[in-house]
Amino acid sequence: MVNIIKKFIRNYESNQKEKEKKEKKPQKKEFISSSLTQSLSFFKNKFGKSEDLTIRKLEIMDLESAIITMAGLVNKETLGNNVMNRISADMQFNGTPIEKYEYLRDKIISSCDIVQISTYEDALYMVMSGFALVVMDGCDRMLAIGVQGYSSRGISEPSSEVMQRGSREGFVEPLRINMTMIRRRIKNPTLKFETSKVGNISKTEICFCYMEDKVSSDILEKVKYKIQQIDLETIMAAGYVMPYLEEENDLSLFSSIGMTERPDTVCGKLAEGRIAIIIDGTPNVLIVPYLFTEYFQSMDDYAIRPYFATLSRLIKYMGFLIASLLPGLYVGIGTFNPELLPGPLLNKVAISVGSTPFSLLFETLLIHFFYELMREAGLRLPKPLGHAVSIMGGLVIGDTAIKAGLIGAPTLMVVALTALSSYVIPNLYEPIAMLRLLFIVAGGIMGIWGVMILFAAGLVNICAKSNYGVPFTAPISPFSTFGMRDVFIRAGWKILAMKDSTVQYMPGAHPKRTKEKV
Amino acid sequence: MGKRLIISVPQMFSMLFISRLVVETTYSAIMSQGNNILDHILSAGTAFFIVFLLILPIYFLFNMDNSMDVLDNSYELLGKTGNLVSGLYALYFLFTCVHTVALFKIFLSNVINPPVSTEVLLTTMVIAASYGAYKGVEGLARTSGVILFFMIISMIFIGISLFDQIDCLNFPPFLYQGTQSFEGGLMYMISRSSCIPAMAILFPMAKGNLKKGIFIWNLGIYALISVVILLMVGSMGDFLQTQLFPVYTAGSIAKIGSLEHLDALYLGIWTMGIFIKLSLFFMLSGECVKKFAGEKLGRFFVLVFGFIMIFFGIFLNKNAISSGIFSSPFLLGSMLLVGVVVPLALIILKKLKTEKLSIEGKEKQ
Repeated sequence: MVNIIKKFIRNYESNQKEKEKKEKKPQKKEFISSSLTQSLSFFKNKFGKSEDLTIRKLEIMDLESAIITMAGLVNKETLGNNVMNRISADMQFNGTPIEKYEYLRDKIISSCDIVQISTYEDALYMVMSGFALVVMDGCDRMLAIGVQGYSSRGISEPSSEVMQRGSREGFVEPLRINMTMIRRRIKNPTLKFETSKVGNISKTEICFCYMEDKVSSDILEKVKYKIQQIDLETIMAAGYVMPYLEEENDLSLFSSIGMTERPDTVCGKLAEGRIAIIIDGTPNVLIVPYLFTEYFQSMDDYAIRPYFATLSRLIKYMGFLIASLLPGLYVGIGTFNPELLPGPLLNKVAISVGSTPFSLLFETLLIHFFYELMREAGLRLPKPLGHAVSIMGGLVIGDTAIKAGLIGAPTLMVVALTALSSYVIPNLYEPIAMLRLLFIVAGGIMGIWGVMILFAAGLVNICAKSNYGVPFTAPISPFSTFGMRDVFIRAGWKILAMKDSTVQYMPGAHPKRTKEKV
Repeated sequence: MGKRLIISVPQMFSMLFISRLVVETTYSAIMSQGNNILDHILSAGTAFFIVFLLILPIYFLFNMDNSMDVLDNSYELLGKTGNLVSGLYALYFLFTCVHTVALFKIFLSNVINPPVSTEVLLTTMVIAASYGAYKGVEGLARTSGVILFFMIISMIFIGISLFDQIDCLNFPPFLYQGTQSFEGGLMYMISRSSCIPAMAILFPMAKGNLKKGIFIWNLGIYALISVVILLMVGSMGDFLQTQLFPVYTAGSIAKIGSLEHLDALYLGIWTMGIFIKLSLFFMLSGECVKKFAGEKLGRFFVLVFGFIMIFFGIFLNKNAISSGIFSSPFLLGSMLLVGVVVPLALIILKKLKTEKLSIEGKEKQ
């Protein structure tokens, strides 16, 4: 028996090793030819019948040349003023093609965003990023001139993170605009932006943003390494990248990667030593490492007086407990341990349970199912139809089901209270919804014991979680008295600003000691 | 062996505090075979000093080389024979797990008597504890911090609510029925000190002031127990003698204003405490097994241990918890063997080895 197990383990390990050994073959880079015809035929072959490739042939300083752009990605006015008008002028310069190219680059083109390119791979990437490529016959390089001008959504307040006080700006889809929004708020040279490309097909640009004097170099190195390891074909949303940044074999319901659409939130986190990851094409910026307590913080907390901010924090924590535990406890106690309820309340619940045809477990699950159904329906419907869903759900189904004696009023009230509480922390909606369901099932099968056992197991799950060596539950556990100034309470700014508090110095944090090896 | 400072001393002692608390809050005159539970306050006072003495061998062994636990020491001094020591500790920790599971079962079937199958609950608890053990000491230590907070708040709440119901007439004089209860209580407290052998493995993992930690932990446990006994005796009087789990009964009669039935609170904290204790000792037994069976085979043994726990949990009956291998003398003997005798023997061996080496060194010079 033992031998069989050993053999099984050995086989499994050798398979794993083989998988790890499979390395990606580095792509060969093709250098630009000095022949214009060859370069143009390369682009024509690559794009084939694609309509958006534009090639404008012309003569520059008596050399056969071409300007390659992608329709819709360039600003024609900028292209005209900075490039076309300048090179169309009668230029006289004698020299080799390379000298002419250098003259054009240094003396003629007025744009400051110029990149010299020597491989076709870079040329393709630049042209598809909205650059104009200037190709000259006899030159084995190209000029990429920044004339991007694609249309994008204007800066507006993010609908998922509405604040009463503070900035009304939210991130947008283009990466560069998002970078400027951060730079405008932190005018400090220690703020760094580093970009890299991810996605074998989409070649999406990803930007790491951090403050050099605040960030932990170990964490930064690991984040970069993890991003390099992403083996995806396309990246269309921040959610694609998130699992790659989590701890290995992490099966937790909670994510230790933060996501925000607010530049002010990102700037606050950067000042605490976090790394922001901006992904081109999405307004959601990722923040690593992210702690459990940060789910309960919002920018509004820092814009109002600490007393009310503290009350608001406590309400959020209460809301979290109610939203995840209440229905499970209600089902568990109502089904197996009714003696734990005070007499008058027990009476009401007993009457309700007695007058409905379903068990408390089934009844609660049923209402939750209806609620989630209505939520999903309301989420993606046009606003006017959303009202119709509310009327249908709230009035018709809810009211009629109680009157018909199909479901009990206490159960409906518990579910309604739960739903309301879960909206207090919108970022935690998904894990709360899952936990709630698990607690209901545990309560329905094993009563209060089941709920308690699951609660303890869930607590271990989040307490054991670390990301980049920083405990997810810090500073609650491992505990830090000073850290509490911004957890259950929100201390005044004079106390908050008393000590530099970067994430790598959280209690129990060991950025060097993580599961992943770089 | 490199130092593995992965938890802090307060975290380690919060785990051990909870592990002690779940046993200490299951006191009863029936289990300790006494007739006056108030005498247990004297037992607690005496146990406080005795536990200090019992910890000394482990503490001194750790002080000789603070990067090594008792198992590392045994391998260093005894070579392959160290496997025996690892096996012994693994069995002791498994035995503690089985004892805890049995306690949980008795509580379920005799006090609460839930409509849910106790077998299902036991199996779920063991599975959950296995998950806790799998998550490792760091996760458990952090969880203990949170659970300890809930426990203390709940105990204070129950304590305050019982305060009103205390009747001074319920307090008999100490030792008025002889010393039997005192002795029984002392035996009960010392024999169930399974945390002492646990320290032999946990000490090298903890960072911080150990002496202070040991003192606060020990004082906290016995002070809390004394207060709990005072409250129970004061509020329940002779009724206490008939209860198998008097702290639970005390919780069920506690009342503050319109809040009553605080036994729900007790149920909650006790279940979470049992979870921590089971997870901790299950993890420790796994660590010991991995020492002699290796990482891969160790996992298989841990799985077998899980089944053993479920098996014993299901088939043990009410009387088994205080008789046979779970009787106080057997528990005391096994605890003394792994908590005192083995560390003491290792200290002597280490001293002898050091002296031998120094003599050899001098001879060479």
